[in-house]
Amino acid sequence: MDKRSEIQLTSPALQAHSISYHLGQRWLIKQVSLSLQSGEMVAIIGPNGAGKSTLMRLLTGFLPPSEGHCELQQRPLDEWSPRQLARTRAVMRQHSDLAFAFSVREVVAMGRSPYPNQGRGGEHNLRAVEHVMAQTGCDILADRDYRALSGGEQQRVQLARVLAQLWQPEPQPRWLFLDEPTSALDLYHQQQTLRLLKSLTRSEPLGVCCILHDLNLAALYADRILLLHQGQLVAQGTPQEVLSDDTLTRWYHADLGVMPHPECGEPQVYLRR
Amino acid sequence: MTKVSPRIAFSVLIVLLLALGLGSANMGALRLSFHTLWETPLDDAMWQVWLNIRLPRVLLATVVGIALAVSGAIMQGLFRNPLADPTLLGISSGASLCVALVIVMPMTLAPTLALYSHMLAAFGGSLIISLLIYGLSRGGHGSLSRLLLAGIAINALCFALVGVLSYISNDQQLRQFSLWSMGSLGQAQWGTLLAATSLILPASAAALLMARRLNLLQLGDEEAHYLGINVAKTKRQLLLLSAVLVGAAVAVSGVIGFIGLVIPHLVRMRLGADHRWLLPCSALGGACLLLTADTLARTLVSPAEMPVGMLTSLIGGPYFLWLILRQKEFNVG
Repeated sequence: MDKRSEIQLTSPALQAHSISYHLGQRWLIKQVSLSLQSGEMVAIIGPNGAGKSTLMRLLTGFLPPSEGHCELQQRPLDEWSPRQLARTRAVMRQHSDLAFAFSVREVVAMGRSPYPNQGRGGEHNLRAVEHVMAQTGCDILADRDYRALSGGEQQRVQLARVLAQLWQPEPQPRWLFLDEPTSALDLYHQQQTLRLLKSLTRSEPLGVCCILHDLNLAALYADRILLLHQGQLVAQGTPQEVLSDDTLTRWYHADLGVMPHPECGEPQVYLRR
Repeated sequence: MTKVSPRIAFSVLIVLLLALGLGSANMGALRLSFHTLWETPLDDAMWQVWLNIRLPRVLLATVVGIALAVSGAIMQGLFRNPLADPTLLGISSGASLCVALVIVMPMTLAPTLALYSHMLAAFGGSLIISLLIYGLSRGGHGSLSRLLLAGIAINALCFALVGVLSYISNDQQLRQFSLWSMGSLGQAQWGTLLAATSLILPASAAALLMARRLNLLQLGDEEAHYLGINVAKTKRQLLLLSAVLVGAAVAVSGVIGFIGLVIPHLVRMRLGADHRWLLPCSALGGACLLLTADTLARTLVSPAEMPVGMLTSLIGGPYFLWLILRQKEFNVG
């Protein structure tokens, strides 16, 4: 038994027990069961319209499942108080617009709203904001108007905000959900963001679950990949297990090939011309 | 544009409001300086004018200004749209419709009731529309575009019904209604002041307590939910608060436009969008503006009086247009 499976047995988890979700007659999510450990990085992949964002909304408690239920640390998700839940899991969506001129620092500080702001709490909040802004490289943007930033910069600010939401003086199990956190980022910032997330899962009891479109990024950074197709979990496992030629061709219907990464050997997907 | 420290702005606005209040209490058809009030042997008639006409009017202008600006700031935050306004959801037009009904319908009312009939009608109208919107906001996850569309429909309907009433009204009724709809603080008495204040001050204080949540709503409904906010409930509470503010203001003063639109906009340009400062500074700014406008309305054509709503729209309209045009250049450049 290797180290990762040991972690899976002992560490606290977010679990979905055969959850389904339907909108009218259509089932957007069908009978999905999964578990997300704190301390692991999981990527959700799948073709367009597979239900990835819906699944994330169910796992984070934004939508109640039509059937089945979710548990966070052995407690049903709907029994958590909104504030306690906000201190335990954070969610970053693909795109967030603001109508008014908030500064970057103000946006990041909103991540601290689930915490008290008096006495020590206020100190912690300040520390958290400075810490995550340095971590994500937002410190140089601190006083800029959020609306004037580029899409990629906005995404980094939102990342800083959700990291601030989960920052604790003492490490505690927490979960971070991200819906395509790298969609607007250049190569450098894609790498920086995923390296940061990965290193956080190693140094703290933090579980990261992100929807990724770029399968090669998923292969490089995810401990585990979940492949969603038409609302069903059709494959899950390590990058080697999921990102095989047969599996991908079957569910993506694309003409593609897979080869090992020249340095680390993780599978890398390429399209045939 | 350079940002100003909110604390300084807040203090400046308080001083400005006090100065305006004192100045305004002196000016009018009858000049009453503090000098005459305090030093000469007390002239009872003058004192009565000051105490029962001038003072309540100055205070009413302050309170109504607070209500209009705060409700505007709430609506803009709630709809995440700098152009949102209490008139947008049809609250003001609902009030207008009820007042038109009371004026045009042949009714015999008890004298005391007749005195307050316009006020009651305006308040009833605002409340009915607000409850309607409250009901609509409960279904469909409180989607804001749905509310906005409902507001447009309500506005159109009320406008059409007011048109019908205007058509069947006689000359005197028409004049009475159009004067009311221009907005005036001429009704100011201690009674109306007390009634309006008892609604406006608590509602404004409650809005201030929700400023942090209003900030989080700016990130988006889903983001606010993930930060632990009960989004649907928060929105309903904010909607109700702004309805109470608008209802109370419209009831005592008729339709006074542009304060709810211009003041929060100006404050935001200077102080940023944080509602913890935006709400109190807008309240003070709204009070200052309405106080100034009402003083002008009383003095410009004295001893006659202009409707203050007409004045604010005449000044506010072009000014706001200019702001928007200039803002666009900023954004593009």
